[in-house]
This record gives sequence, C-alpha cells and structure tokens, in this order.
Amino acid sequence: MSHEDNLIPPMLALDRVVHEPARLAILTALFAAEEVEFLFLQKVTTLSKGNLSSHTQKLEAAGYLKTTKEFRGRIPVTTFRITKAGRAALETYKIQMQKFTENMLRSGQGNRDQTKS
Amino acid sequence: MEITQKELARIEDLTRRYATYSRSQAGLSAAWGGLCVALLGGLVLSNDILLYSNHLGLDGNPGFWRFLWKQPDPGLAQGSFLSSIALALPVLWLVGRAWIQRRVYERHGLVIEAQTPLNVGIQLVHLIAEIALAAMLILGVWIDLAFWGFPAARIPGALLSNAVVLMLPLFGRRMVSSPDRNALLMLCLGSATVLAGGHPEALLGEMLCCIVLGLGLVALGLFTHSRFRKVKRELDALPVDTSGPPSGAPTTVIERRSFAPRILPRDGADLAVALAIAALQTTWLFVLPSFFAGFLTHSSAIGECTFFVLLAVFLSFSVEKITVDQDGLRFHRLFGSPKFLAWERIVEVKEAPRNELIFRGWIWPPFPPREMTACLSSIGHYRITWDDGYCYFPPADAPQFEALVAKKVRDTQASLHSPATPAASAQP
Repeated sequence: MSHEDNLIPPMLALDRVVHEPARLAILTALFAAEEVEFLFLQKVTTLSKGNLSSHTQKLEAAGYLKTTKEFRGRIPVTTFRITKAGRAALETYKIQMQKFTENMLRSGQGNRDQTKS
Repeated sequence: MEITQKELARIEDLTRRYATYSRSQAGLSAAWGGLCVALLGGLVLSNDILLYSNHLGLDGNPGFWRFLWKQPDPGLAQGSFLSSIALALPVLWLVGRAWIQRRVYERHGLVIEAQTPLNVGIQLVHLIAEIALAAMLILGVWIDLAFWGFPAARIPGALLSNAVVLMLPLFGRRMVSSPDRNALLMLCLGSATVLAGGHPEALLGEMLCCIVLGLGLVALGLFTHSRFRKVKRELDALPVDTSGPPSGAPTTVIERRSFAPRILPRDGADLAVALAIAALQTTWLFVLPSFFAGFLTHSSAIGECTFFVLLAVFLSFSVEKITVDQDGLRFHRLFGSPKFLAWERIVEVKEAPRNELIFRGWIWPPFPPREMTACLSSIGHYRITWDDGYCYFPPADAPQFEALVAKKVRDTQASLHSPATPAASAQP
C-alpha cells in the first residue's frame, strides 16, 4: 500500500459539517467566547448576511450551535452559542487535521526518499 | 471560500480579545468611574480643608474653594450641593457605563467572554485588589480618628464604616468581573458615607484614598481602552463581503461624493416650525443644564459658561457633511472620528415627512444622536435606518442624494434578501 492510500481513510473520516471553511470559521469564533451576536460573527468571519444565516442553520441542524432570537427594543438580535457537541466536533476536527497534515508531510518525505534511491 | 490555519487563529484571537470587554476588561467605563470617584473625593476633601482652616481661624482659603463652597458644610448631609452630587454620581456612572458599553464596546455586536482559568485568575487579582482597597480605607478612617484624638462619639460610626468596607470584596465577587465593580463600590461607599451625614473631617483619609484610587482607575481605564482601539482597528480593517447580487438583480456603482447638510429654511412656515423646535431644544439641552449649574454653584458666571460650553460642544460634534463611496456612508464632524456605515448595515434611506422628523427626530429622543445636524429646515430630511439605529440628514442636494444613496441601499437590500444569493454561495 502506498503512502497516498494511507491518507484517504482519515480524509473520509473528517466531519463534513465542520470541514466547510465558512462553518469552520463560525465554529472557531464561537469556540472563543460564551455567546456571540450575529453582527460580530458576520464581521469577524467576513461572510455576507445570507451566507452566515445559511451556515448557522446547517450547524444548528447538526446540533453544533444554539441560536437565540430576541428583540432589543425594536431591533431583532440573533445570538449564537456553541454546544458541547459543537465544541467536541471542532476539537476532534483539529486533531484529525493535525494528524492528516503530519501524515501528508511524512508521505511527501517517503516519496522523496524513494525517488532518491 | 478558502481558509488557512493563520486566518482561523486570527478569528479566534480577535473574538477572544473583543469578548474580554464584556467581563474582565473595563476600558472607558472604569475611567469614567474613576473620574466620578475622584470628583467625589476631591469635593469632600476641599470642604474638609476649608472647614479646617476656618476652624483654625485662618483666612488663607484659596479662591477656588471659597468660590465652590460659599460656606463650608460641617454636617455633610445638610449640604444640598454635596448631597445632590453624592446622590447623582452613582446613577450618572451607571447610565454612563451602559452608554459606553453599548456605544463603544458592543459596536460590532455583543460577545460574552468565556470563563477560562485565566479569567478566574484575573478575578482573583481583583479580589486581592479589593481587599487591599478595603484595608486602605479602614486605615484611613483610623488615621483620621487618631488625628482628632479618638473622640468617643465617632468610634461607633467608624466601626460601622469599617464593617461596610469589609463587605466590599464580598459584594464585588457577585458582580460582573471587571474593574468597573471597584469603581461602583467605591462610589457607592463614598456616596453612602456622605449622605449618612456626620462630620466630614473624619472622612479625610477615606477621601484621599478615593482620589488616589479614582485616578488609578482612570489610568487603568485609558490603558485598557487603548488596547481595545487596536482590536477595533483590526476589526474595521476586515473586508466586508460584497458578493455581487444574483444575475438580473439591479446594481449601482457609485463614485466618492460628499453631501453637505442644508442649513437655511425653505420658506416662512418652515422657518417658524424650525424656530419653535429650536427654542424647545435650546431650553432643554442648554438653558436648563446651565440654570441647574448656576443654581448649584450659586454663580451666574458658571451658568453662562455652561450654556456656551454646551452650545460649542453641540456645534463641534454635529455632522458637517456625509461622504458616500462604494463601501458605504461616512458622517464627518469637526471633532470626533467619522462614523462609518457599510452598505450592508443600512436598511433603508427614505425621505421623512415633516411630522415624523419633528416627533421622532427632534423632540424624541430628547438628546440628539451623534449624527445630528444644525439645520433650520424641517423639509427634505432623509431618514437613514441601519441595523441598530437611525438618524435624519437634510442633504443640500436632495435629488442627487436620492439618486445615489437611496437607490444604492435599495439595490444592496435587494441583493441581500434575494433567495438566490445565500443558496448559491452557501453550498459546502
């Protein structure tokens, strides 16, 4: 079995909900705080309102975040909070990605050694 | 959308630093609290010094104190000036703090800081600081007593004051964890002591502590605020997602352009309406505070100065022009940084009828917003509504403003609310 073959199973094991860059950015921001308002999340992730809504809905459906909608005066305010499952999913994803990167580097090194010999 | 490890680290770091201003950092609200505490301490101390010099029969009262205190107040609770200040300061501080939090530290939305071991450590440092503060205040009271030869009548009051001070760290733990609570507790303690009456000279040490610690809070607040400014600069520098509207949707490309406000009235009726409202606003915003300042200080000169200072502040901070470009609107004032509104934040720009302008723009809320203009016309004002507020602006060139700004906002909103945009770009 080649080095490249070893890379496929860990790649397939990645959580596809977290793996999407925009959702990864959202979860990372939520991971750093207890509660985050829509406005800040939009600013820090540089996503458009529509994209952010769509991705947070997907994350909520996966049980990774909790959304609270309330009115502050006449203004609707949406707040997000990462759940325990979301926190665990992000941590697992980070570990998986780190291992994957290490394997990839090793694989690259192995290929170079084979070429030399 | 592509994202790198570095960008993820940036998002995490920025969120974490911004969130600290909800709990463990105070910034300008601590500075404001420190200022209130130092002011209270300074007032009581100046009264003490004047009282003591009178007691010794000295006529060396500095002019400012003699001006401030026509008659030194031997029983603090009896003095209306100091009692009013002591009563008003904690309330003023709380109102000011809420305003600062909302307008400065939650400008990009509220983010609540997560409780981390570091956070708990910071709370511990605050607890130690509060214990040190309590020790200083207790020591201050007993130094005063020693100075006056431990009069028996003052011992129960001193013990009571010590008990209140010792409870300070206990109360502090239950409040929001930030230097703010130190300011609030010191302020409440100082105010309660003044309002409870008694002889001011016994408070000499306490008030000295208040001044020193108040100035310390001002320095700390300004320092932490300077760090927040860095966070804000980083946030402001982030690009705004201006992903184009779906095909077929209208779009407006605009060049940079400035709009000055219209100042003069359009006709006689317009002038009459504007003058009536201006008279009302002048009374409420300038005349009443000036009268109150003059009444409290027993000085008409102070009242007149207050009037002109308030008027100068109003004119200096009112909007002198609006700049429009591809990114959004900028409100320019003589002093203060221009307020920027990205197109995505603006919900609506619409010409407002006269009734709406008078009741929602000029009369209520009673304090005009930051984006106020010194305009004498009640016609041709546009209501600019964004995600957390609104204001009225009377462009001198209304047709051009309508053609550029209102249309751009309508197009942006249409593209944002079009169902094709999120669905097309949100696929994993």
